[in-house]
Amino acid sequence: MFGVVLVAATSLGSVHAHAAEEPDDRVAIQRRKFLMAHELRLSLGSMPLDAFQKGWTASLSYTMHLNEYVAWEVAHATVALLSSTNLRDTLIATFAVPPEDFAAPRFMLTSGLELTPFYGKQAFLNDEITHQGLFMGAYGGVMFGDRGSFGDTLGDLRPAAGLGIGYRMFLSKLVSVRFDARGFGALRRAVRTNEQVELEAVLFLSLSGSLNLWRDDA
Amino acid sequence: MRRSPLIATFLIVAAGAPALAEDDELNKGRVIAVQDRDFRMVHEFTLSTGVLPMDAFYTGYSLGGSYTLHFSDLIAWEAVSFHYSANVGSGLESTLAQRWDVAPTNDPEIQYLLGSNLTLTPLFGKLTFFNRAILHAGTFISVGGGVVRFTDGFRPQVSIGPGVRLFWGNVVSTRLELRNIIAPDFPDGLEYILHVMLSVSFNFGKVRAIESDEDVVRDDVDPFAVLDELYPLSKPKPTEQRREEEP
Repeated sequence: MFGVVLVAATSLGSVHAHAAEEPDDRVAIQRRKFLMAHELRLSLGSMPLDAFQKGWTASLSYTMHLNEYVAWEVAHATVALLSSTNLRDTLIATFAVPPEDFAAPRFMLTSGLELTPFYGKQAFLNDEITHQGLFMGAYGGVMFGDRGSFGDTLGDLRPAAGLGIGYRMFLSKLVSVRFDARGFGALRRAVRTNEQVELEAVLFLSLSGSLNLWRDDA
Repeated sequence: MRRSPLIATFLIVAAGAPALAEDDELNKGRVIAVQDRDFRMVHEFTLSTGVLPMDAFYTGYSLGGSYTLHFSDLIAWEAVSFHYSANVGSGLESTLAQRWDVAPTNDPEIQYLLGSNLTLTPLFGKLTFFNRAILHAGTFISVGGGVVRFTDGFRPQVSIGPGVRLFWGNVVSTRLELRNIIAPDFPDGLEYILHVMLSVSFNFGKVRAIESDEDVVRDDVDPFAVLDELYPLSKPKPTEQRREEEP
């Protein structure tokens, strides 16, 4: 095994530079050191696009990795702490707009498919080697707009779908950190008389710590 | 500065050493080796498109460029960058009018950004694409400042943000980066601007500003050949030759 892995490792570095020079076009890719299996993830993030309320989020998710490339994010649950913008404060204070009128997303529950076509490693200051992956995903689910009471919030259900990209850095076979950027379109219904149906853009950024559990070869 | 060919042997172990460390009988110490970089940036000219999504009343779509002088693999100076912003309304004004009969006061919009940044690239490596192609990539962070031109005047700005570069050759590379910009608006407060950019860069030159011609050493060692020499089993002899040598 030593020889096989060493050949693969060596050619990963050299084949690109020499491909144009040598007719003997040897291509070899090193086996991935880190393979994901069952991923349990805790995230902190934000939903910064809303003009009236910025969301600061905490999320919990479970992802099943089907192979090196494809994963199914079975469930991703998010709760947001909403902070008011100056515009919202002005509307409430000066124009007596009810606070429940704004209704930024308060809860979110989604599922999705992820594809990780890129995997590699980088040297940090020409010393430490870090392994990482780049991935993208398609997600769908529901969001709940903040309406003050919990019951009213659950009643403001908005179907949502979106796309995302992400970057993962492996710290060990068990632990990795990842950054996700997801853009959703949420169908916002007319709950109040002065509202109308509209497609609301929701940008969701998060930084996560992931636990990789039940790996066969761990 | 590129390393001498002597280091090639050392470099060969770079990719494999971490993976082998756990199950290799040769694991008698920590071996850290890093392959020499294939691509070398010197004078970089960049064309950028981008988006400024954070303002509630409009979204800015930017077009710009920059010139970056690379002092080493690690440190570069983005001497000047300029980005013009074409702004498109977000629809918030009509929402305010329809829902609450409110008309906002005039909101100053970004017209362009002018800046200069220090760029550090501490991470450099390779990515495989579906285990078929190999791409070289660097991860960097930019720190700098400059001015932002709003419709009501100039404001100073400081910025920081990460980015990633994919190399398509020694001349052409692609950059994706975020710039988090703080532009003080005295005495009203601070304005946060997020600038997301996708750029294509063109690299020219061979000798960096802090180098002489002698410093640039071309490493032409074939790692396969070195590997074959070190580990003959990785290059099996032809079958006929093996049979002849067998007793």
